[in-house]
Amino acid sequence: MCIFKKSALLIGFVLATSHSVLAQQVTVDPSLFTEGTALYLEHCSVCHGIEGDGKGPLATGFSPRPRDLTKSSFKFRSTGVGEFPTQSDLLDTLNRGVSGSYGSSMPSFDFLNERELLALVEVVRYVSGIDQFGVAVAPPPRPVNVDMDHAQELYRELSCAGCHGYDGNGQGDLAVGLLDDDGLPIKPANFRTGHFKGGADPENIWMRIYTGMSGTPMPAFGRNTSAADIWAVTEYVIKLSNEE
Amino acid sequence: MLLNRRSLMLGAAAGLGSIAAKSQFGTAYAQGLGSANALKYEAVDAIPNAGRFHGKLAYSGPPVEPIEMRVTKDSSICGEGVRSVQPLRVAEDGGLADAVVQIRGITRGKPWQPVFDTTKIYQIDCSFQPFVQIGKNTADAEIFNFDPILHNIHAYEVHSGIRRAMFNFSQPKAGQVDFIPLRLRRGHLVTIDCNAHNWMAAWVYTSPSPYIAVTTVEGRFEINDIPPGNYEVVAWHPVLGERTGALTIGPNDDLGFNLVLS
Repeated sequence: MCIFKKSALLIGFVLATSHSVLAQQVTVDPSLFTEGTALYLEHCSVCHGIEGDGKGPLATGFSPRPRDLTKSSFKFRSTGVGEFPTQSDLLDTLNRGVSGSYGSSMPSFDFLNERELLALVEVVRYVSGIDQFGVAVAPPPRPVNVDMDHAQELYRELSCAGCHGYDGNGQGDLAVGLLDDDGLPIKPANFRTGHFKGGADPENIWMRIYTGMSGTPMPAFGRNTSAADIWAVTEYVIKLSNEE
Repeated sequence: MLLNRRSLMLGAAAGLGSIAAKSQFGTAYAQGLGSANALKYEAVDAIPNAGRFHGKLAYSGPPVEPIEMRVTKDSSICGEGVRSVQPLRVAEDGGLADAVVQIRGITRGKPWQPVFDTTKIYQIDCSFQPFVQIGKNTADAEIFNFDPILHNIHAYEVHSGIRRAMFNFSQPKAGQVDFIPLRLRRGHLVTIDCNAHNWMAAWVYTSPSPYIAVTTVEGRFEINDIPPGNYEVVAWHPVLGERTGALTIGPNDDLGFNLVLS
């Protein structure tokens, strides 16, 4: 999907294009899909449902609920606004799992071999109707020094505190009443727990701010905020997560 | 009529008569799902014996109370206290604004005016404007922030009563403009909200053919240059839902149409 902007304020997309790699074309592989179907039924359907609609037998015990894969909306992407994830994004989520407390997490499937993981990704791709994987954006190198006063100001200016709270405890003014795409309550991340669902590496946190988290109220900041400022906010979030 | 935020945002989506395109997992392995909105339409220069369809939509249900929502941030721009949102705009004589009238089934007819290639979404005074607009099914969106505060533009495709997130990005400052393809995959309807200010809502109703109109503040609409034929007519409002009926346009017809929604 080609996404571009007209205004002079195109910091985000300039960054995206300068760090992009080519989109991956989808290769249909019936044998991989067949293998993946068996793996999906064994490992995934209990939460994500037999049809991938997020209505597995255990689904109601989770908050937020397991993803409805048929909506083709993915929280953990390295791609531009409105784009599908890359194949690697889906593999990363399976490998890493989703960090969180009981009832809000997904286990890592790193015990599966590479082909098995690819087979599961193929099922997810099919169920989601992905006809072309998105274009990956890589964060620029992490800066050595960040002005933390500026970072704190950005955290306020970009309304991070509105949801996540000034202290990063997930209790901002807007925190109560936030809904996910299904209209179910969803809590902003509490950075103080040290749990980052999309991965705790600085690059993972940068990416969550850059691309947002589809299906949740967390918007993408990459279109209108510079990469350097996103790094500053990232460092401030890391600082909050390290505080007692 | 009792309405709440869910009425405003999800509207009558559950009643939409869209074509279901849900995948049947494991039964028909294929690359793409296609789009119910990607119907073929051919623009032609001349339409012999074209007809006209015009009229008025009105509301006659119980009085609609405004929805009041608490302002939790940016009160210097969005106002102190509560924000009162009127989900129905009804004229003194009952004329209903913000309703869409569409003629379905025309595959060959007048060209689209270029203005409908791009939908415009303005964020002004902590509201999306317009509330309801129409666009070509291949339209892009141009999104403007005139407020000196952060808004996020969270767009969903609505199809068969389900909302699917299309994009969600921030515009932290006034003067920012973003251009983004809508690319509906399964339906024809887009709803947009802002998670930072939960009273903000907008709808974009897309169509393969230009035989579509939004009612004026008086509730009036007009669709012209219609090729004679038998079609389906649809009236839709984000809160009141959809009504459909048969429509026959004869040569040079000038058909008046009044519909009361409740």
